[in-house]
Amino acid sequence: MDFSLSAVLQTFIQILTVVPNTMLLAAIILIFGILFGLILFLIERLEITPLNVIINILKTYVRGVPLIVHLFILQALLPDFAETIFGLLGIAENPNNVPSVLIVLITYITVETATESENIKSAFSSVDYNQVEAGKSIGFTQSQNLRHIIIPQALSVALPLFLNAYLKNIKALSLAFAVGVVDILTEARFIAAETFRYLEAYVAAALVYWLICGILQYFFDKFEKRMRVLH
Amino acid sequence: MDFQFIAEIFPVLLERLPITLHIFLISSILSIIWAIFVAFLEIKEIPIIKQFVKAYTSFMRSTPGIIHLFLVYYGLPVLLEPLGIDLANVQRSFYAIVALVLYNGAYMSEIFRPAYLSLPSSQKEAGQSIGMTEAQINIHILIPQVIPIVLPSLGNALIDLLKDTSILFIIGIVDIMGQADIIITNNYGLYQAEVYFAIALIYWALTLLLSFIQSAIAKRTAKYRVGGTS
Repeated sequence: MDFSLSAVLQTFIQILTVVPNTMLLAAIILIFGILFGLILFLIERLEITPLNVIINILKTYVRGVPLIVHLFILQALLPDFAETIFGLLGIAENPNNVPSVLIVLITYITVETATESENIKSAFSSVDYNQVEAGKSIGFTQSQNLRHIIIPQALSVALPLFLNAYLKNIKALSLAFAVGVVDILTEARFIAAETFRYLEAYVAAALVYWLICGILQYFFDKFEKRMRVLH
Repeated sequence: MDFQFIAEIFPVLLERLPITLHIFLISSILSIIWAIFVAFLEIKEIPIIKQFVKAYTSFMRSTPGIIHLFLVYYGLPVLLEPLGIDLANVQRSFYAIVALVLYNGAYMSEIFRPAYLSLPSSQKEAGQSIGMTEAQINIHILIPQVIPIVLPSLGNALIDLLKDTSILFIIGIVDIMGQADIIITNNYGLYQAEVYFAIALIYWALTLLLSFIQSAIAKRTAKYRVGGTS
């Protein structure tokens, strides 16, 4: 079969309709990942040794296992979980159809939490202790130090990491097809299955990814440069 | 979760582990070689070629790995057909390796290039002052210093490469993931959680092993680091 450029163009336009959906999902994952990552970081800061050992083991598990494996495990476990929880609440409903978006969200947010807690940790440890002492020397209280010195500097390190994580999420969502959530790649596969033009569909999907990630990367790089001046 | 079932299928999955490891090892070596070559092209700043390399790395870095698997699997035969090369009898693992190398090599080149450029020019000048050739300077002075800088990121990139092997079953390769698919189908989809948890344990062990090797090598090469042994 000849390679058809017009098929690429048509698929490209069709795929664009699911781009906002993918970007929204990636943003939700990022925001919850940062939130839970921060909480995890604060728990680790309490330095309760046995707890930290457990957290570290869980982190190596979450980060050492491929995402698609996590997805498959959760896809199988979630209906059982839901049934148990529903049972505890006294609802006698059989939740056979857990929405696949929920599977994706829980999986990705878990992985993101592990990553972001590390990012937050490295952002805080990048702040020079001299800076804190400088604050103390002019009579700053702990919370003033935190607000005016530590957090602004840690943020300038963490924000570029967060933005990179966002791009990574957009790309990682391509695996969500495995449990049936519609994103850029899934849409391309739908179209390919209808037209039998597989190569064209995948080329179109690649171009869509290149376009959105390229544009975002351009702005993120600019932003990162400005942040570096602040640091 | 049925742990007895996990124990039962573990040997069946491990039977296919050599295939995963084989693809991983070959792709790692080729990715590193390819990445060094790409980084070299970028550092040399040859017009036209430089733009090509930039477009290549940007494309690879802004598209997910699974897309490259599909593009190589469906696209390479179409691309090579006019050249008279027929890929009909090529094994699927060939496509997998090509896709993994093209994708991960682009990431790794972005590790090598900044590391090489970060070395102070005084190092090169020191070599020149005692009459070393360009190749000697690279082999004896610059490359030993690049190794400890790239090692942490390279180790992480290799772990990512290992995790990327988990999607190869999609083009029909029967590695541990492909085997998992077969077991689940044979059991009418009943044991999905158990099978993939066994897979997760295998990948977990492998990534732990990789990070252990990484820190062992990091200790040995630390002496080359500029300004100390830490």
